[in-house]
Amino acid sequence: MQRVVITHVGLIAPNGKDFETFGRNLREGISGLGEIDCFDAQRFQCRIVGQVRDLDRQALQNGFPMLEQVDDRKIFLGLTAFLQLLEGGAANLTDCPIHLGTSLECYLLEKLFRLSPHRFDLAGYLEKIPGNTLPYLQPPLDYLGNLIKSRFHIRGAHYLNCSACTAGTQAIGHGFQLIREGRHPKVIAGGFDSMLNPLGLGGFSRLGALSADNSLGAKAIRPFDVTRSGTVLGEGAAVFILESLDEALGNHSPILAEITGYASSFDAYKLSEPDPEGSGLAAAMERALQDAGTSPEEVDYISAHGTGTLSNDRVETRAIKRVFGARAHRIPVSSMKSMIGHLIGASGAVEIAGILAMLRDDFIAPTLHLEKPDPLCDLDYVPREARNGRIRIALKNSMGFGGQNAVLVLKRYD
Amino acid sequence: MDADLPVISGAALICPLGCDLEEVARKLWAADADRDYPPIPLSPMERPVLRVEQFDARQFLADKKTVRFMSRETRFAVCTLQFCLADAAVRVDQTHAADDIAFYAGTGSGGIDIEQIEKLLLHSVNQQTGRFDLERFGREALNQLNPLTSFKILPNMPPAVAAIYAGVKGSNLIFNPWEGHALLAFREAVWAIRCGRERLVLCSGSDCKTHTNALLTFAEYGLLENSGVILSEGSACVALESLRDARNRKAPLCCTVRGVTHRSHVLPDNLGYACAAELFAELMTAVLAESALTPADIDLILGSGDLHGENDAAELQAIQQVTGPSCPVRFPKKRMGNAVAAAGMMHLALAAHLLKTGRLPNGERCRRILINSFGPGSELFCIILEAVCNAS
Repeated sequence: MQRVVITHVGLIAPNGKDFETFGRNLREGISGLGEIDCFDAQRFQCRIVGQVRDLDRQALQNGFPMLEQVDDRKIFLGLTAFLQLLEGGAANLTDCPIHLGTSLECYLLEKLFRLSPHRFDLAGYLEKIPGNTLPYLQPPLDYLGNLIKSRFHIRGAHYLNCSACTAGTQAIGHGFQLIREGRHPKVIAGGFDSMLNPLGLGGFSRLGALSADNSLGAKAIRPFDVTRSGTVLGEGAAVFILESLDEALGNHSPILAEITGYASSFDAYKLSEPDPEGSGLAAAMERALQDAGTSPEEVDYISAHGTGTLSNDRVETRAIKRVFGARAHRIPVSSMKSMIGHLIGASGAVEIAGILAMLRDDFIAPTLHLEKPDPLCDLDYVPREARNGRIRIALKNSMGFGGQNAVLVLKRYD
Repeated sequence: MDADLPVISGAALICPLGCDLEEVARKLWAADADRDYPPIPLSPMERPVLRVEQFDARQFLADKKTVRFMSRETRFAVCTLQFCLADAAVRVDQTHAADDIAFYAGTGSGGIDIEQIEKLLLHSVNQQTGRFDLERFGREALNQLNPLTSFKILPNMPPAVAAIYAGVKGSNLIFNPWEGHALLAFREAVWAIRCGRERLVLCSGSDCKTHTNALLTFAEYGLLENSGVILSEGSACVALESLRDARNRKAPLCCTVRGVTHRSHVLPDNLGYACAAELFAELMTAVLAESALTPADIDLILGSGDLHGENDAAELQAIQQVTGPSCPVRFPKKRMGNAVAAAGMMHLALAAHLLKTGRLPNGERCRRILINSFGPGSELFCIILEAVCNAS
């Protein structure tokens, strides 16, 4: 079994367009949430989001002309994160597998309307496709990975994980397995996503999972608070280089952390809600700890999925108590979503980057806007302000629509 | 015999030819020999799709009410998983703990019905300008959207809902969007069994490409050019475990997985087919070498045969180069259509069934089947399955 370490990170998030800024803002409790302005959403029910502001798409299109074919923010975000990896010194990637997680295709309603206004006319639309210079109606989810492979001559396998909100964590967890089991010395893994398009934001708003507290601004999301009213959508990407320890040492790569365990599970409960007992997530945490050879007593911090929805926060709290017993109350647990929103397929990856910053800079990110804890959410959620603290072992929890769970165990490398 | 050898102990599929593997095989062999079919260029409007007809998921599921919340792809995935569990004689929490059953899957793109989109568009028109109006979209059109649409179109939903119905709680991996990505799930399952990380992996592929939206996107991606591809729908699932575990529980055995060879191709335009005879031949040669077999050991090739002119020509050239003219070849997509993310898994399920019976529908003996998967996307596969009695 190979030991696996994270050596490089590329990141773009609502509260920081690079890893350094993101880490600093997590520590200072600076939120990236606010009113959406990447399209006119004035009549949308839920308008507070974690949007990456001033995304320079034109600069990317200049370097990658084929991006004119797509009008999908997540592809621009993912590519930005990947380019940061290269700028940060990631090299020799030719034979690397690439495993990215994301959730759902962006659907370009306005294009459909332009080519087939009013009533939809299939024949008329199809006639206009040849020679049409408008972006794709619905770029496939593997578009970004293919772009990276072709532009940077990467020949490794191309995995595209679509496990909703667990996709990023699953991609990194699987990358960890590929290295640990000796199949590859180095893997590119991460997550990228954006639901900040009319159908994405509108669709999730109809689902009833989003906070409509627009007047509260960044406080629209309040994980674990008794007044919480839902999550807010965000966007971003984080991509990592995972290496075997031997490879990293041989390459003199900077080591940000070690991954020591990973597990996934299904709730197998209901389509639209998690198992109220939290048994699926608890099973994933137990298996991940077992996989890492770590006892619950050794865990110093848990990065919660912490969406700020009524059921998720209670279920996650219950799951943590099932695994950690009385000690659950003494472990700091925080929700980075209180600062960046729910990045869906990218959430796990970006929040893992947050853990790397905490491991490196000795702090624990806070859960913002937690004023009155829900009596059923009674753990130490690090409310409102970051805390100084040296973490040795951290857990990243992810829970997905459809009842998928994924948990990664990270350890300080020393 | 290697006790750690991965074996397929159950297989199931739902496709336009039916949901009984024996019946599907019979229908495939009833067709004329189809080695040298010509490409069929069609305009998008004339292009047929093959649907799964006369299939009602409610017949097979105890909780019939929730079926209406499922997309077609989800219904296929849910039912094939049930069929596969039955075929493999796996009873959740009896033969295996729910936590010990892993589920790796490939799914297609989460398409939204064009009928739903049409409703949205109609309610988004600015009556004065005749243009799409986001303000009206937010104010009026969104109210027309079924609240569960986002759930229905998430591409992880088919396997996730299948897991709920089956009570499967183990590890999971779900890939998207093409045939080769679903076979990556199969490859990972084979690896997980081989290295002992998993005891039982259910591996599936599901897709529904018969809705208008699929046709639109295929046309946009240029996948219909010089192509007679017939889009279809369905799902397939196989159960994988080690020979030791399967024998210990006296499971029915379909076949062993003799070789899985994979290449990730770099697509110059990001989308499309590899159309690379040399690469296909290299893959076929590599899987034979990995399996320590010669072309003469192969009784049947299930070709990728996507009805794409250039890609099919490249595949035929590769087959000719590697196995010569004597090896029988079948191209199931010609009759089953191309169910994209489900297609490769359908071929695997079919091959597993044929090897279980040991005979092809025409009565010929069949011990080893080579499966090509050269569909659109970057991930290409050659897989060899072998009847258990021949495994050495």
